[in-house]
Amino acid sequence: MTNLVKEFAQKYQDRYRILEEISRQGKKVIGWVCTYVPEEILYAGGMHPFRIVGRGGETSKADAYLYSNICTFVRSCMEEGLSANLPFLSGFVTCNTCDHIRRLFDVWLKYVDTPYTKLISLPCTTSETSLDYFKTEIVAFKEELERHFAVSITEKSLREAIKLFNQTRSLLRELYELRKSPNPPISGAEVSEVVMAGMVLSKPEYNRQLEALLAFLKDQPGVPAADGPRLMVIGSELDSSDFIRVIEEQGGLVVTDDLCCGTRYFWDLVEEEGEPMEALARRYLTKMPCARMHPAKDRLKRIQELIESFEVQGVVYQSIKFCDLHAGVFPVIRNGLKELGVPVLQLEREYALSSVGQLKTRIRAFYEQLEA
Amino acid sequence: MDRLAEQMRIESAIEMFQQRLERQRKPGKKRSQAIFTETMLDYLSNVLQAKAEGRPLAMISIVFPPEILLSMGVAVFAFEQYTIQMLSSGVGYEFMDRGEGYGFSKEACSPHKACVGLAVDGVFPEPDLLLYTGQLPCDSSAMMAEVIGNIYNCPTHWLNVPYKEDEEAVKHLTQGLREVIRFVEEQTGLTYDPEKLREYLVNGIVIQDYFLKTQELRRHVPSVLGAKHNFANFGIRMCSEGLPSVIEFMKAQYAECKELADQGLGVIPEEKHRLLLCGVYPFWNMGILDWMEKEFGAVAVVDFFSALMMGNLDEISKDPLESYARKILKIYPRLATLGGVSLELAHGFGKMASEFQCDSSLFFAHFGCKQTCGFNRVMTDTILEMSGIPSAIVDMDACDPSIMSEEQIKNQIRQYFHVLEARQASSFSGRGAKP
Repeated sequence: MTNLVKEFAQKYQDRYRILEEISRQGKKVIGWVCTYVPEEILYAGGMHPFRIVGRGGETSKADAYLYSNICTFVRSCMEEGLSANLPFLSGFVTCNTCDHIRRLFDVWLKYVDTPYTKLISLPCTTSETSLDYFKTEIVAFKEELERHFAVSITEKSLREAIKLFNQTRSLLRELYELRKSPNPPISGAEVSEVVMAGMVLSKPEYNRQLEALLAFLKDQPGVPAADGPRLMVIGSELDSSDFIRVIEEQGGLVVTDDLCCGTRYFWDLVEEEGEPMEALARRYLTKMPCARMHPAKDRLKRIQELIESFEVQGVVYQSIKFCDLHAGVFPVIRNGLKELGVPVLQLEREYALSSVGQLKTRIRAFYEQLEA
Repeated sequence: MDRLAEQMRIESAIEMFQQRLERQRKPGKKRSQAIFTETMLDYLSNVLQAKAEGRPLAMISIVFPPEILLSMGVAVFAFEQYTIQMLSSGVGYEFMDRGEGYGFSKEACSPHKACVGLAVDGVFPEPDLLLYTGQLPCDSSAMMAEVIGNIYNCPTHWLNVPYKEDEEAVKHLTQGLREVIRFVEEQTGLTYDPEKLREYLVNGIVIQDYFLKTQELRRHVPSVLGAKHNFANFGIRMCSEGLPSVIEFMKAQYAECKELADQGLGVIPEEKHRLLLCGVYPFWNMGILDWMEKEFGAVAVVDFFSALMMGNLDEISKDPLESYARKILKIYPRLATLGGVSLELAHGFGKMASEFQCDSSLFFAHFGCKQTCGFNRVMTDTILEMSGIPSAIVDMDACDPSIMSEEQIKNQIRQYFHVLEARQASSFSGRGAKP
């Protein structure tokens, strides 16, 4: 791993200290959970948005508040809130994304003392009617932020935020473009670390680091795993690079993904010319869709496009136990991949990496299937 | 599997309802129950007739309001409700495995797994359209519909039901209903007639009015209607809302309850506990609710399915679609409250617990339902804070007996009432007092 990638990983690991420092400097730190939350609005209001994720390990406090069929990702996020690990938090924002996140919001609202909380009503379709509604919803969100934090979110500051966040997206797309090469200079696990850091660090700093990384990678040879099968990872929230590392250590290379910690976070840009709130509503509603959006065939089409452009040979479809969205829609995606002749390995996992031995065995068997 | 498939076909369901109807028509039986069965028979027969006559058949979700389709002459098949009803009668568990075998989530809601299995095996009548709702009732239901749509490869339309009930949400849903009409007109050649829809909605006002009056009677001590029979309200409306037969059912149910109330009688001879029921019931064994009444004198006077549906429309506005949207969000099925902030729902329960003089509270934690299980703590804590009533969480599954057996469920309930009665005996006497 290059030192440049290590730096991203290190900062991500050190995120609570960094966020505390930002808070000490007087900036409001706002945690968000789902990639449908328009970060630009928060940034334009002088706030620092960051993605709340868990940290693996025991979730004894959260277990007391969330039933056993609530996924371990949500459980782990809740543990951070209940353990008071986020004292710098001025706000908690999410959408009605899935059954689990809705209930995370409920429990957070009642049992964690966060000054500002918001559940954005996110439509599940992308029709013009839904777009109008979502725009109204995020305009109300903006006005609520202005009132609550006594800030002004102007058209100018929104345009600046959109430009800055688009720059991040463009740089990440450049990074992904490098992975289309037959010998990508960066592994999937490393990319995961780079992307995750972008959800925590301030965007100007992150963009500078990304530019340096891209300049460095352009002259680098392919990573060792580049000889193995080219893979795509699809499915539930996956913020830890460890899972991808296990996949790659068995001899494959992850070249792209359909993850909310990957393409679903940054793939689509916000239109910079139009009215900012309208542009934000359109981008967030029509971005690379999560399984919660309908109909699933629209998402399938986007996945198929990625498979073709990244020359993917096999798909690892992972879902966190109890994730009805990703585990439920699997037959639709599987049937669509069959049309392309791309084999798929379905794995159920917990939020924190576990049962590594079993995972390795299944991945090796999948590679054998790909080679046959 | 062929024999099992036969048992789950609509023809078999019709036979089952016909036999039930014969029993219900005997003297001494409640008229409402026979009307319920007659209505279900009409509904299922209409599904079969539509296929035979070449009329369009639409599969719909349990919260997809059927009035618009019925008013346009489209036969509806609420297949999720149908599957639950059949599983509740003790047949079809094998189709849960079939659904899992097809690749559908093994942790999904059990009836949804069975729906996928039934579609894979071609047991359901083939739909011409699929009209579904998201994000409600839940992720499991929505994903099941995606899979079913993929299996049948039929024209599908998704209606977004927001979790809010404000005017923006009403406006959005009204527009969404216009899109539904456009879709149905394009696919079937049938046309939307606002006056026809108005008729259904006017009937809906009468239905809801009787429903509310019946719910009001549940305040009586002793209470006049238990959870099991009250649940029939929900089932009948899913597939036949707005039809005159539903008015007849509601009217008969109200009259029966009123008669009991006037005589000072309750649904059971001796009411000992007034129960608040939350969560999803053990549909596979609704006899457990009868057992609670018999064993502990515990009658559910507030329940999850009814507590959601409060209020009524005053009138149908110039644009019936606007009233229709308002009804869906604020009156019936009003499940949108599930998809948002459950604390509001919990406050409603806490308030009702006191108003209906409850002294006990059970939360049925249906293992496949993340939507409801996820708020069990918020709900039970709020009920305790607002009314002083401790709750028990009952682990179970709505349709899969292998998750928790009858005796295991009963044992959890038994323990709760034993502790509750011991506490009540030692610290206070009299109904409605706080432990």
